[in-house]
Amino acid sequence: MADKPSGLVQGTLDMLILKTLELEPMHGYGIAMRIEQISKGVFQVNPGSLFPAFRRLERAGWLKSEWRDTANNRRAKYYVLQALGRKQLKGETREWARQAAAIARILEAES
Amino acid sequence: MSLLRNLAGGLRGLFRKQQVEREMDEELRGYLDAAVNEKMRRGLNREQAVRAARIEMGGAESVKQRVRAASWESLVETLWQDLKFGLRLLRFSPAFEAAAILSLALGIGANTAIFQLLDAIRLRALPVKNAQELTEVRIAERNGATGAFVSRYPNLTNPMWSQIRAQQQALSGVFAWGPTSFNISPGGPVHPVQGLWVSGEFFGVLGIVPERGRFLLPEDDRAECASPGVVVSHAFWQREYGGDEFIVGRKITIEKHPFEVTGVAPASFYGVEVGRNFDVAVPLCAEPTIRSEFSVLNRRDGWWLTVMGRRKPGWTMEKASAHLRAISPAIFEATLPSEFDPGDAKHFLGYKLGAFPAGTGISGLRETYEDPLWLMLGLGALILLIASANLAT
Repeated sequence: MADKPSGLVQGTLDMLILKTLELEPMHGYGIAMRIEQISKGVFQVNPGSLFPAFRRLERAGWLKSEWRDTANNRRAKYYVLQALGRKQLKGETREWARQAAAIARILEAES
Repeated sequence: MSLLRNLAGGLRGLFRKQQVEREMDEELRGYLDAAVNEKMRRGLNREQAVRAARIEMGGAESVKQRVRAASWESLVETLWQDLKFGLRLLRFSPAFEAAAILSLALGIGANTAIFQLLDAIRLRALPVKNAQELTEVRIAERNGATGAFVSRYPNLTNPMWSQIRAQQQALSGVFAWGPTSFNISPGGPVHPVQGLWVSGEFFGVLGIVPERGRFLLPEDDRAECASPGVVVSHAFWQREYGGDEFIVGRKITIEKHPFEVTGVAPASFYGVEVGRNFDVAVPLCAEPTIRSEFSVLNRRDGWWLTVMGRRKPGWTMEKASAHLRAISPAIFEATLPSEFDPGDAKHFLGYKLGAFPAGTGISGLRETYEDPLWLMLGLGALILLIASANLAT
């Protein structure tokens, strides 16, 4: 682990979940692991915020859930990205890039 | 679409609670198992792995609680639980329960009663079509007048009414009316009823359809007044004549003079005065016959009429008022009572007509009681609020 795990910026968890599911449907633990791995441990997502987020995204129509068998023959709830979610992800990514660039500019100007 | 899905999901959560809960349990268990496996793979023994995973997860119940809180149906559920709890508590203290219900009932009842009064005298429109077009023409800020006042609403004189009718252009139709009381007994004890003096345009401009016969027309309201007819209200027809089939054409004695009934007004039409229903309506021209030596019809200082009309399309109240202001000097010049002394005459000639909304009718009750009623409604609401606050604590 490179750094101490840090808290997620408010509202970015949804975006990260959508991004993680862009590749393939996954179950809850898989999503948590993937976010942790790709961020090199910077973000550790705990179930207390992950599952409410699933419920929220599902209600918004961005995700769909279905029960599937896992690799080791267990049943798990898989989350599948929907067309609406894909659109949302695109929009949020664009917005994020815009804001990040703006913040970077401001920080550079200050120093 | 999204709203619909949200609603459907929520309803599923409410009505198939068991299943949704089971699925959530299974999902969380699966998550925990996966976490334990992962930790064992990294070299912890089973016991350590389970402990670590549990700590990470932070209690399945609290996670479930947070998932539930993410959706709207949890609100409904909490509300329902609170309600059940409240009802259970109430059963243990019937005295408090009675006091609570009684004070709420009183508070709500008082509010409803006051609001009904307000609605009747202030808010409800007259039972005629397009009531919002109705406009009253009267002198703005009259500040006193000289002469004979022979009505509850002595706004204008008959000569003024003739001038207004001839000169105004803001209204597509105008009519004049005045309330009065008639004795309809042919002899013996007095039998008073609510009467209306109406100009020939009254029913036509209001746009009411007679239930029987025909209404008074401008031809019925000519100076010679050859055959003055009378229109009776539905209530009067039922009350005094038992709904007689052949009411049209019958004679009614009004102040000892016979009048022929020309028509019956529909039950929904009570007049233009809120809080007082008319019984019989006679044309203005019959006034000298009925009042004989006390007639004010042709007196320039006899105040007894109210003038109303329908605004033409595209005429706002302001535009109509401006127009009436503009024609005021000529009108008051032409109707100045000759016997006025210079002071009275100067005051008279300074009058300005204005247009005022009349869609909710005319009401003496309103002027007297509107403000106190609003105040009472406010007080009633406050009391209800206090009662609620009292009960909540």
